[in-house]
Amino acid sequence: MNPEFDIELVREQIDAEVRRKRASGELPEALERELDRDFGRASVTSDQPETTDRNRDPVRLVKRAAGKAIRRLTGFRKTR
Amino acid sequence: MKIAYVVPRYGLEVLGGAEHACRMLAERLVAMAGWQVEIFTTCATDAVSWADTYPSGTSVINGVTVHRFKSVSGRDPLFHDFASRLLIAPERASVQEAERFIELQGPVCPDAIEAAVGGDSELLIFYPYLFYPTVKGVPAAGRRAVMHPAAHDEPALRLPVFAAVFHAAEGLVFQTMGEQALCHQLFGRSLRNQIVLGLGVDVDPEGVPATLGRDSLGLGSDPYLLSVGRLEDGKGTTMLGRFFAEYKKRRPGPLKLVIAGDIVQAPPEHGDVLIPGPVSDDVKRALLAGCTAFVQPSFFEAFSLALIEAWSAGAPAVVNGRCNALTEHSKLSGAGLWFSGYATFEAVLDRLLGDAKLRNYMGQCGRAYVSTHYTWPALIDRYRLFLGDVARHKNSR
Repeated sequence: MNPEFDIELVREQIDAEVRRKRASGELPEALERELDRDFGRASVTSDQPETTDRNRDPVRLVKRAAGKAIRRLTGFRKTR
Repeated sequence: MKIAYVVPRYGLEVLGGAEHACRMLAERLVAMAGWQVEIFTTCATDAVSWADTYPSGTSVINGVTVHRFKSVSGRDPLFHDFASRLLIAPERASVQEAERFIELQGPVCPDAIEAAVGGDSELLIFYPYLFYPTVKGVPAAGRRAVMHPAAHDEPALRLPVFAAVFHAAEGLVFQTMGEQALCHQLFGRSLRNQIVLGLGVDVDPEGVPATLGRDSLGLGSDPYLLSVGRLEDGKGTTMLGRFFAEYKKRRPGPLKLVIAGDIVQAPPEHGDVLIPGPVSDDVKRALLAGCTAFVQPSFFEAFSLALIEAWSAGAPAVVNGRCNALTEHSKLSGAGLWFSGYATFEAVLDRLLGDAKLRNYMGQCGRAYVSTHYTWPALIDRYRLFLGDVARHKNSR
């Protein structure tokens, strides 16, 4: 089969199109950020122990450490 | 030749990726190579609880002899908490902790391993890497052990219990080059006999009329994207539903999205998204034949038989660029375009929907890729030769 298209080249053209849309404001930054939050969130949910990658998420790790520190300082214990 | 598979579960009702793959290979080795194939497994159907569902004992399924054994334990209620803590830094876990992870995860079924090792099969083939039957069975099988790891890049793969298992296997069968590279990176290149095999599909030159799929879902003549697989967050279907809804807001028109499969977590409702649940094989093939493009949104695929089936039907594909197996297939075949967020999702769809020549070219590339690498006769031939070599090699060492 004659290669009418080089798929990696097509993909580069797509990236160039994305850069153009971002620069022109056709794709609002806030919209893209909001949608890509879904993409990032979903990417850490697998059918293996759901906790695995999620627990490597630095934001969650910092939140958890802060929560533990606050509980230790205030003497508060989780009831469950 | 006589071989045996050792797997955590097996049966016509078991649809999980690795276990289904095992059944497809086992049945075709019987039918196409004339080998004797036995299965040693648990009585479980459910991969979360591992509860005994089937009766123990021996039965024959499509020419394959299946021996089922009751498990000592299934998934322990402590497992999730234990795994959560351990997998934050799996490299730092002790071997004892890793072994506890394996036992709590289940299914703990020493009887299946003992029976397989005590049998007269030339090779014992374990599938997949993560569970007790493989972790305990591969070392017990000695030189007869072959493993299909079905490994993902996930924290559990870095637990200190697996290096010894990978190195103990006399043969390793990978689904993609990406999986092989990942295992080399983690366990070194000194692993023994290896092959990148994948899985096969039945290519039906006649096909089924595309109208069957359109009629069954009331699609009329509208163009549609199709995704097939379990609907849940980790499979990317929720994200796909949201991306598609935004796409339709920005690009109004007749385009629909069909997501067919078992519904665990349904994506947000949308007038242009059809969720029929599981569909018959004929309807699936008809939907594949009639779709504008197939979408594989999953983040975690070791191989993606769904994608291979879509290509065998001539559908161009849009795949999740975060999944190495999907991008590897797409680059090698020239039949898939990958997205890495909403912006590229939109741009990929714009390009594909607006360029029939590109869609047609990608469809041809997909068919050629499947026909070269993933039709059953070619695949079983390669597998049979590989296993024969491993059996001879272990006897000559």
